[in-house]
Parts: sequence; structure tokens; C-alpha cells
Amino acid sequence: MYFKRNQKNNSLININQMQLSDTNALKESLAELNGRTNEYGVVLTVKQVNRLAEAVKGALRESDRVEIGAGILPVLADEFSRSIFVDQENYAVLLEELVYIFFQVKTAVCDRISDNDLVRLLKDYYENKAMGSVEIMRERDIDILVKYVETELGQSNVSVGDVYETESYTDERS
Amino acid sequence: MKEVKNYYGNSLNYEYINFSDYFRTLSSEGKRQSFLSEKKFVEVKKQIGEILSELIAEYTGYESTSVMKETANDIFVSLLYCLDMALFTFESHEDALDFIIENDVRTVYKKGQKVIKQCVFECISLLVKAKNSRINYPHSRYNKMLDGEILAYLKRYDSKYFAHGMSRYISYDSANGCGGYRGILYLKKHLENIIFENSFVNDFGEELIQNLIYGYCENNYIAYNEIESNIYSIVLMNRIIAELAGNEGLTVSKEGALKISKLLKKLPENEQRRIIIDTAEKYFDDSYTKKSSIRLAGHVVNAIKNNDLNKILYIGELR
Repeated sequence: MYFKRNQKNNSLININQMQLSDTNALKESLAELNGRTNEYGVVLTVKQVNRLAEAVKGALRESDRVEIGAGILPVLADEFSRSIFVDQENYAVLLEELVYIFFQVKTAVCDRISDNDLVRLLKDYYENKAMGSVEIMRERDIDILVKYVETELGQSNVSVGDVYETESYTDERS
Repeated sequence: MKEVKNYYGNSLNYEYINFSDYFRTLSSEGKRQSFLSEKKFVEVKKQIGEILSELIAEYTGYESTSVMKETANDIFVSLLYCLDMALFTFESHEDALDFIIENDVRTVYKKGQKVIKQCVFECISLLVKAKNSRINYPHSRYNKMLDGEILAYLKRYDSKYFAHGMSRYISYDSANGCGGYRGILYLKKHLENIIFENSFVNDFGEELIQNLIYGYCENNYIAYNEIESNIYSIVLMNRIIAELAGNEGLTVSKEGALKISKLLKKLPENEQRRIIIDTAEKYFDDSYTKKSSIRLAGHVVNAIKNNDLNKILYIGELR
């Protein structure tokens, strides 16, 4: 049987119309998390939550990714709120930057790492290598981060120590 | 469908419905003609989104809340393929649309999964049938397809996340191809074609076919097992040209081939095509051979133009 090509493609259901991420669930999770992070002296205001929700959308667009449910932000917030380098002043900005870094690295390693493992590695890098400077992580260290994650995954011939030595990031920073 | 016409007296416009994108085009046309309300259409989109989210989460082993767009798109197309498969079980577009209207997308999806599973079982049976009726000739691509490639495809077939995927590893094509088919339906069509071709070829007798194909390889300086052409096509071409040359079997002698070439060369190309198709239709009343003859007629015209008829059939005596 022969069928003509559909001439009304505009009305077809397509993936861009799908509401996969759940902004309400994200906001609820962050609000709930505030109750716990308050203990560490950090909370997100409504304005910051809205801004972060927009930042997630932008980061997804830039890294060509699709997110489902509440997404990664509550996981990042939960993990990083306990960092010694985080305070109320830099908390929201840090999360905004981290979301971008997270998606970039996740795409670069072709999704071979779970969310929780990547968040753990990012926190480790942030605290022990970048010494609390998320700007440097985003602007300069994304490639190093990718190598770092690949080394952890056992997919790189270079050892973690080699990565640090080659890039000598601490020297430059000091 | 209870109502074949909408409030305005319009019915579904079949030109806008496409079998290779059935669920989407049918629901879209259903909405256009007001059989599917705006509310239901929004609901359908929402439910597809929910199933897609669940599939993505499951795909990542619940270890990731995001995937690359390309991955999400593959899963989306696979989901739509599954919905299509559910709707293919209905006899008319109207009945299929009714099923969408009366059920939620999850029900359609579950039905689609069942249909796909059934289709996989059918393919296994067809593979057994194709193997049992195989052409006894050491055509390496043909034998590789039957002995390993199809089974490997079936083992790897992913009905959840890549149901629409086609095997790039099936190296032997049927004469008519499987244009327009995807996923497991592609394989089913391919196997049906192969079974028909096996039966057609085997009707001429094993020894005769072996001699014909060996002779074809020799004439074209091809190692006997490295032949790439479709066996059925060569046999059918031999039969048609032999018939035109006045022989009953498959033999096309050098003189016969020369005579037919000269005769056909005097005619315009469309007339040459018509003669090939008419000859095939005169002796074979099945739709498969008719379709093949239409395709192969073009090859004959080109071969006659380039004086290389031996590229598409065996010219010489058959023992």
C-alpha cells in the first residue's frame, strides 16, 4: 500500500513537546532539602530556586541532554551543602555552576558514570583539588575533570596522580 | 469506528496517514478531523511523556536522571514503533483510531509489546522454515545470513529501547527488498521473501540450480562462493530470457541471448521493459514475481544497452 508523506508534520507529536523533567518536583525537593541544609547554614530562597530551575534548562540545552523527574539539582544540593567551602553567600551560584559542569562532564564521558558517583567525584575534586573554586572548575578544569572521571572509571591509561601533575593546577592557583 | 464521519460530515483523509509513522499520523489526522478531542490529544502527549520518562529511567538502571538527546530520541522512536505495532492489528484506520480514543496510551503500549513479542516468535518459526527450504549452493553471504546473522539479530533485538532498529549485519538481500519496513517487521518481511525465493528456486531442481550459478560465476570471473548477487534474481532472469528465446527451462544459449538482445535493442526502452514484465506475468501469477520482474526489467534494459547480459543471468549450456 502506498501512502503519501504526511503534509501536516507540524501537528505531529514530537519529543520536544514532551514534559519529561518535573519542575514542580524539583522545587518541592529543594524546599524539602532546605529543612535539612539549614543545619549547615545554607538555604535556597524561592527566587534562587526559580533561577536554578532556569539554569538547569539552559545547561541541558548546552550539553544536548534531556532530564527526567526532579533531576540532578537536589542531589547536587544535598551533597555540596555539607562542603566546608560552602556558605549562604556562594551556595546558589555554586549550584548553578555545578549543574553546567555536571552535564558537560556526563556527556563527555558518554554517560558511563552514575549520577551519584559523578556527584561524589565532583565534590572530591572541588574540595581537594580546586580548593573550593567552582569558577576554575568550569572555566579551566572541565577537560581535567573528564580525565579524572575516566581514570576513576578505569578507562584512561593515565593515573589520577598523573592528571594532577600534568596539569599542575594547584601551582597556578597559588 | 462508530462514526466514520465527523460533525461536519468529514472523514479521515488517508493521504495524511502513514504506515511508517502510524500512531503519530493517525492521531494527528484524528485530531484534525475532530474525532480526537483537543483534551484527549493533550492527554495522549502527556501519557507518552510519562512512559518515555519511565523508559529512560529504566534504561539508565535508575542510576541517572538525564540522558543525551540522541538516546532519548531513540527510546522515543522505539516507543512510537511499539504503539504502531499495536495499531497494525486493526483492520481499518478507523478501528485503530477508536482504540486510541477508548484506551490510555499505556494500554496501547502494552498491546504493542505483546505484538512485538509475538512477531519475534513468528520470525523464529520463519527462520526454521527458511533454513529447511534453503538453496543448496555455497553462496557464503546467503548461508551466513541463514546460519548466524538472523539469529544474532534476534538475540540482540531490543524491543524496549530500540524496537525500530534494523540489522545492518544481514548481508544477503532479497530481490524485492523490504522498503518501508523497520525493526522486527523488517526481519519478518525479509524472511518471508527468502522463503518464497527458496521455494521458487528449488522448484527447478538442486543440480540444475548449482550448475546455473557455478556457470554464472565462471562467466563473470567470480569465485564460486564469493558471488554477491541474489540467486533468485539470476534464476528468474534466466527463466524469462529463456522463455523469450523459445526454451522451456532455464537454458539461455549464446545464440539465444544474442537473438534476444538484437530484438530488444530495436525497441524503445519502455517497450523492452513491458516485454520482460509481460513474459514474467504470463508464467508466474504471484505478486512477488511480478514485483521482482518490474525491478529486474530495468536491469535487463541496462544490460542490453551495455552488451553485458551475462552480468544478470547465465548464458551457456546447462547439464
